[in-house]
Amino acid sequence: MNRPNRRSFLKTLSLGASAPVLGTLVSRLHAGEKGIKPRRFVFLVEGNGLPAKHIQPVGIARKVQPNLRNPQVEQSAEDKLIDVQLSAPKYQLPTSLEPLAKFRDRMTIVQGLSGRVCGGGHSNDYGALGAYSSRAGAKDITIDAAVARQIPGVFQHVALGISVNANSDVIYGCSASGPDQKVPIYTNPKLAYDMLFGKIIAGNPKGEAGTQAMLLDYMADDIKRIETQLPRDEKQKLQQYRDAFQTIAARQSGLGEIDPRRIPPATEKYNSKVETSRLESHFNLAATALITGMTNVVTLASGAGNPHFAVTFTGLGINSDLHAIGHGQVAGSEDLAIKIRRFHTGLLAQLMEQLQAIPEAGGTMLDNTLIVYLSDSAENHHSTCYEWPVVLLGNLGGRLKAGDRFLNYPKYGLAGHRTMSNLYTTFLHAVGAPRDFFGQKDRELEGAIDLNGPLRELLA
Amino acid sequence: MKLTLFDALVVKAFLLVPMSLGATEVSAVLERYCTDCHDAATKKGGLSLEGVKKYQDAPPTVWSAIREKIQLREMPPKKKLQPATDEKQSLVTWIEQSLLAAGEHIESKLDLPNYGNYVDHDALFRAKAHPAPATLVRVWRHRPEAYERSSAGAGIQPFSMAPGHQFNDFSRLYAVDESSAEIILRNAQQLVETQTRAKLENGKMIGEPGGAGAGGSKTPGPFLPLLHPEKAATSAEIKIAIDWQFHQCLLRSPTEEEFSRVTGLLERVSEKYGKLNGVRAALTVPLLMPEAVYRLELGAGKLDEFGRRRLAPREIRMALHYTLLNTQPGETLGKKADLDTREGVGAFVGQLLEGDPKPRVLRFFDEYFDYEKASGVFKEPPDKLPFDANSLVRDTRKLIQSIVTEDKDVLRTLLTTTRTYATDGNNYQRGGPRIYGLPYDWKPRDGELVELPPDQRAGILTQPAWLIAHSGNFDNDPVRRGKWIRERLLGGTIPDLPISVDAVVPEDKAKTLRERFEVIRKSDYCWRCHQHMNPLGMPFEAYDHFGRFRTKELKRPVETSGAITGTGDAGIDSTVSDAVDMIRRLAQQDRTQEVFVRYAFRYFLGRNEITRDARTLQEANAVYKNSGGSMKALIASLLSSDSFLYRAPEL
Repeated sequence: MNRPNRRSFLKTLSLGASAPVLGTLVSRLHAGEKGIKPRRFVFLVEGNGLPAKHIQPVGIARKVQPNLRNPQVEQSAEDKLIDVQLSAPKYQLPTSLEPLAKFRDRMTIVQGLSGRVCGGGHSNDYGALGAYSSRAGAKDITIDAAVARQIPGVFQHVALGISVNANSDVIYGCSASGPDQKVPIYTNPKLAYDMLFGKIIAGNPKGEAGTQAMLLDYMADDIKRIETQLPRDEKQKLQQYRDAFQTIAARQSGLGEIDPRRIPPATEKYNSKVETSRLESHFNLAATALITGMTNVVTLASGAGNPHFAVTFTGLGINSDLHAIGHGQVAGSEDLAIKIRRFHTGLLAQLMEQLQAIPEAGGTMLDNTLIVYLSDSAENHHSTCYEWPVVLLGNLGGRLKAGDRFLNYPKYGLAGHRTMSNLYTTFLHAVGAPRDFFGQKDRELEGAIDLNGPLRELLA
Repeated sequence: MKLTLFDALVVKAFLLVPMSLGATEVSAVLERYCTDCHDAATKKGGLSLEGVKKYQDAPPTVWSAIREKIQLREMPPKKKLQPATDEKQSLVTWIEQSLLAAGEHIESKLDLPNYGNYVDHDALFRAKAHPAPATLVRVWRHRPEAYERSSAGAGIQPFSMAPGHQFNDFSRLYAVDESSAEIILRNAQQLVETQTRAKLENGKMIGEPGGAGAGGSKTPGPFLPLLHPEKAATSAEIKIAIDWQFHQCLLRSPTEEEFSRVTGLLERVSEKYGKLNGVRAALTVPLLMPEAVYRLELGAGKLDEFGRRRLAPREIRMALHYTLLNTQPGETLGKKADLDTREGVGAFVGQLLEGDPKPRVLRFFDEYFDYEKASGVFKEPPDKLPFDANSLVRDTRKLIQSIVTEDKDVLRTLLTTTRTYATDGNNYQRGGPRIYGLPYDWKPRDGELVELPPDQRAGILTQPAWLIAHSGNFDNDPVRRGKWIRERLLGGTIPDLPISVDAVVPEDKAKTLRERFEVIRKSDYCWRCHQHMNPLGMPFEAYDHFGRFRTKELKRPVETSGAITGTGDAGIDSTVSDAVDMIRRLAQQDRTQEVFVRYAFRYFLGRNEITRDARTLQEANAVYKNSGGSMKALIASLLSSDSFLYRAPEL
């Protein structure tokens, strides 16, 4: 891959740029040069559940009990916090995480958090990243969009993914920037490439950018003329449309300054209908978007949200969809599930290598990144959310006490038990937007445990 | 003397001006109706309003919550002293104004689908109606298929519909956000770029081959003169090109003013960035105009004595078209019609509805009965029962279509018919007939409606597709079934599911579902809401969760009794022996029909009714009744009503 080099990328930026969005980009990059560490997030949300046993290190016994809702499956039954070093010689990474072995020192496996407020089922949809009931749809901002607000790039937040429908271009499923403001997830890699880099690749001749600026200016004026005839709520709809054009205009004028040679060309894979190729392409897009500073937050949704999860990974030689595999209707379901899991962790390892290759603030970009790997369907194909396994990679420039760690929180309802909301609150603390709580409180736990605050074990 | 809210209201009533509350009145009303329970000592629900005298004394979230509880009539509790309607309205208005002044967002649930029933039924059907109903001036985002039309099918679909068990094309639900705008812009630029790829060959302009434009090219003929690299286009040529693009995208010519503005843009861009860019910018405009992404319903002319404007004839045509059809609006625009009178509009609607039921009309019944989601309910079929929910859904769809085609006593027939289709080929192979209780050796005949035993089935609500759609993976779902009846036949309301509730009934293989549901009955907290649903849902225990009629459950005679309660009408409330009994009783009620008319209003007007729509609803109800239950007549009445034809800048 033709990797852009961050230093030469910086040189291509003109300090005299007038657009405010570019101004912030430039100052941020230079701040990075001076040693103020930037922060970046990648969320990998994989459909169909991430069972605790798939990420449980070999050598650490897992105390279990029958699930309170679905006795056929197990749930964590630890009575106290387990906090051990992952690299201790007696422990080994489970098969699913082996592709990430090289990055074990950056890995934190978190077991035993719960997310009962989400409701469970095939997918917790927006609830998974929002820590709220999935029944009401995109009822509030999700954590990926919430951290993106704190660390905006040219694009505040980029969401890419795959769906059961290989012909889709854009889907909505697990991410929202506010109540009912669903974040579009680009499922067509070529489209995403065009949207992110198209204008830069085309060389963005001055005329085109300038024409667009004049056109959008005209449109803003045109929209305003109708706005004046409307009552308040209706006026807001058109204001939103007008604001959108103005934001796009500002963003595009900023893009004009980015050197197209820094963007690797789109390969044949970007047009593929094969889900593995699409996902690989999305990971590459994510790397480029992060490396060029186009964004600081990427959500990668691999079949996340209903009804997108029932993907068939034909590219891995598997002919059954995730729904059939999840229900155990196929011979060797467990092996197939692990094979798919390893494909995802392999892509994560590759992304980490790409970020590690770019120097930044006395280290590499990877040092200042946090990757969050989880499933929108929590711990199981039919999730109950009594536990929600998560793998963290990186420590966000030292803002988290993460890496080379295995954490298992006490079981649901016991003192010391914590929820996904506490994990997300931790992220918000780490990006400088501390708050007591994110999402909804699990009323069942009220009184039994403290529902507020970040995970103290994790926050630096 | 301390001024009470009542005093202020009396003054307001005489002056007939909107009353603005002051801090004194607000604190008085809170003290009178709220602080009995919400004082510092009792602090019911964790909320104390003691000492709250002005907006700044409580956070915006609390004010929003108070407003919503009052609007949804959830507070004060029914047994407590109730504020008068005007008093409630004044407080709600005051809270709204205060929130807005503080820059807070107001979410009005009453505008959302599934909240329409909060408007008092008697105020719509038993009270004196306002003489001049109207809809607020609005813009209504196009449905995805309409966008496809205005963008000439170019590129990527930027719009989607909200999922959920509701009428999902409500104007209030959608706005074009940044991500959609980005896609719309990209589509538009790509289309125009393709349309304007032309070159000079042997002195003649030739477009890129492979389209429906000039000489089989992708370039529309009228654009060619504008693309000539050397010759400047005449102003007449420019006018024709811009006119062509307006027609293509918006089905109309630009106004003089629009034309001059677009030409101005063309000139400005040309001067700075060259002619081609200028032409492209100008031709992109109609693809991005608000009209390309929104239905504009602004009304024309002066406000009448009631503060309304009638929609312009073109707006009426467009509104009717988008309401009834999914096709190209051109055909509707071309038809002759007298749109200046209500009768003329009604006749035009009749013309548009001629022939087989239109997909938009059938869609109303799909969303009203909400049976299609049966396809998504995962079940493990027992005793090797061949089971295919999709074919059961198709059967129900065909049944609805046949009843709507007949167009006689539509609602009552839908609710009580003993007939069904069971002829779907796939269905036959996969056990459909057995689910309907038909014999093993029953053979389908194409298009045949089958009679089912009248003591076993009554209409859509006893069709397996509806029963499965309102069931769980392993059990019946009396709660959702009861909720459907409460809301869609009785016009009642159910409070939102509290967030903290984990709605699970205990597993116990030795007990029937009804027995397992006893825990809900025993809990006062649960029963407060469930009393409105469970007694209406339990009669459906006459069917298993695959929709098969049964007489036994766990080898015991199945218990199918239930009750219609809490309607406030002694003529409707009664105990019922089973689902068939309950449905037949309800199908005879005037109220059931009135509620149906309310639902039809919401679907076809894309909003909830308000009390000012009473006249529209009463008239539509009478028309439906007098026409012998004709759906076409009901729709024509709704779409020629003042509610549909008039717009008011404020209501």
